[in-house]
This record gives sequence, C-alpha cells and structure tokens, in this order.
Amino acid sequence: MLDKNAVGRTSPPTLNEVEKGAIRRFAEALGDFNPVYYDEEYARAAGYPTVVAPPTFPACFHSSADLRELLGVTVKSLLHTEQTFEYERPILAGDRIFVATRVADVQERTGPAGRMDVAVLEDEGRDEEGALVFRSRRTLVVRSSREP
Amino acid sequence: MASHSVGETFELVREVDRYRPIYYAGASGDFNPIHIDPEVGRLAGLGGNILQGLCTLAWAVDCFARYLGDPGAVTRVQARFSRPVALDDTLTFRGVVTAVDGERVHATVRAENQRGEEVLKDVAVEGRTRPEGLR
Repeated sequence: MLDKNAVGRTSPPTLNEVEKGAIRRFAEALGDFNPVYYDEEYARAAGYPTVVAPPTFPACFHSSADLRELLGVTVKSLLHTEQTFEYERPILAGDRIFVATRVADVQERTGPAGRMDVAVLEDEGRDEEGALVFRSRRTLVVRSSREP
Repeated sequence: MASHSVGETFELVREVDRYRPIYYAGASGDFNPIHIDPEVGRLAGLGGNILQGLCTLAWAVDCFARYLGDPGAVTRVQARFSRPVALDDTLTFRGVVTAVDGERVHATVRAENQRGEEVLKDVAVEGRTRPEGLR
C-alpha cells in the first residue's frame, strides 16, 4: 500500500512558459475555435492583454514530480478518477508559471476488484512574484509494487 | 449588464472523431497508450482506445464558458470521470445555473453519451459574471 508518510511531500517548483503556439495547439486539439485563444486583437478587444489559454490548459503543465519518489512506490498503472481546477486569474500567453506538486492525501479503499490505493495530488501554479495563479487536484487510483 | 439567473440552461454537443485522442495527446503530452493504441484499449476490455478524461472535461468547461461568454471568467471546475468515452461517441453537455451570488455564477453540467450514460459525474463549475463594458 501507499506510504502514509508521503502526505505533504512536495516537488520543487518547475517553470512552465505559456507559449502562444502551445495555446493554439491545445485549443485546436479540443476542436475549440474561440478566437480569444488564437487572435491577439480579438483578445485585446475582449479586455485581455494577449491571448488567453483554455481553462484546462494547466493539464499540460509539467512539474518535477516523480510519482515514484513522491509516493514511494513503483506505479504499475494509474487511473485518473477526479479533477478540480481553481483559478485566481486567467492564464495568458507569456505567463511564466512555477508549478509544484504536493501529495495531499493517500488512502486505501476496498473496491469490487479488491484493495486499491488512492492518491490525491495537488498542483499549485505561481507567477514570478509568487502570486497564486491556479490550483488543481487530481485523484488517482494507483496500482503499485513496492520496490527496495 | 450581463445577467445570469438560476435555472438558465446551456448545451453543447461534441462528436468524438477517431483522431481526437491523438490530437489531445500531442497538445497535452498525455500519451498514455490506452488513449492512442487501440490494441492496448482492447486488452484492457475497453473495446479500443479511449478519449482522455481531461478532454471530455475541457468540453464541459467550454459549454459553460460559452454561456458566460468568456473562458477567462471561469474560476472553478470539478468533475469525476465515471465512464470511458469511446471513439465515435457523441457527447451532449447540458448545464444549468444553480446559484448566482453577486459576482459568481455556479452551475452543474450533465455529460452523457449517445446512450444516455453519464461520462462525467458531479460536474460543478463556477465563473465570474462579466463586468460591464466588456464585450
């Protein structure tokens, strides 16, 4: 089972630069052609300094979190069962966001397929001044094997 | 000024075209084989590769963002992934405003496939009402 001591373990913040091209590709991948994601002039007319990222864009951010290190197990399979995003402000092209991942909770649950481990990971994104930009929580059902 | 009221509804329909999980993998970096390799999906008993849950969630959020008129106004999103979404599924998102308190609009979104099965559960979204003068 997962190590209860993993709770609170946090990866060091990792820089994510929000590029205009990455926003465009992400919006295209969703088949979402809202011009506020693509067109600078449109975005300015809508009250933004530049193009905006779709709300779920933090899904493609990286942190230095290594699940094996954070959870103390070798992950054999992962099932993503729940997701939350909270935004302090919209994410904009040119943002430099530092993302850190923290183990918020680990639990053992018994389901139809037997015992399973559940981990809740919380990502926090802050700008260069340290101001919070977003917070997200992922709940993962983890099948693991413990290695020495 | 933009007004929102409890009980207002909004809707979005999206078709899961065959390459959608590949596009989403490329843009998001989620290359989990279950999303891009039909054989892996079949071995897992899913009948083929399945769409990333976060793509489905992005569509549910888009449904709400269209209602707000501004994706930058979305302040909170929450959902559980309750059922795999297969290629060629048609997803219907139906939202309803549950509360309006001053500057915040709260809504729930029901996301179901063409068989009426819920693919997301407990979808709750929250956004800012649009300030006056903003297009």
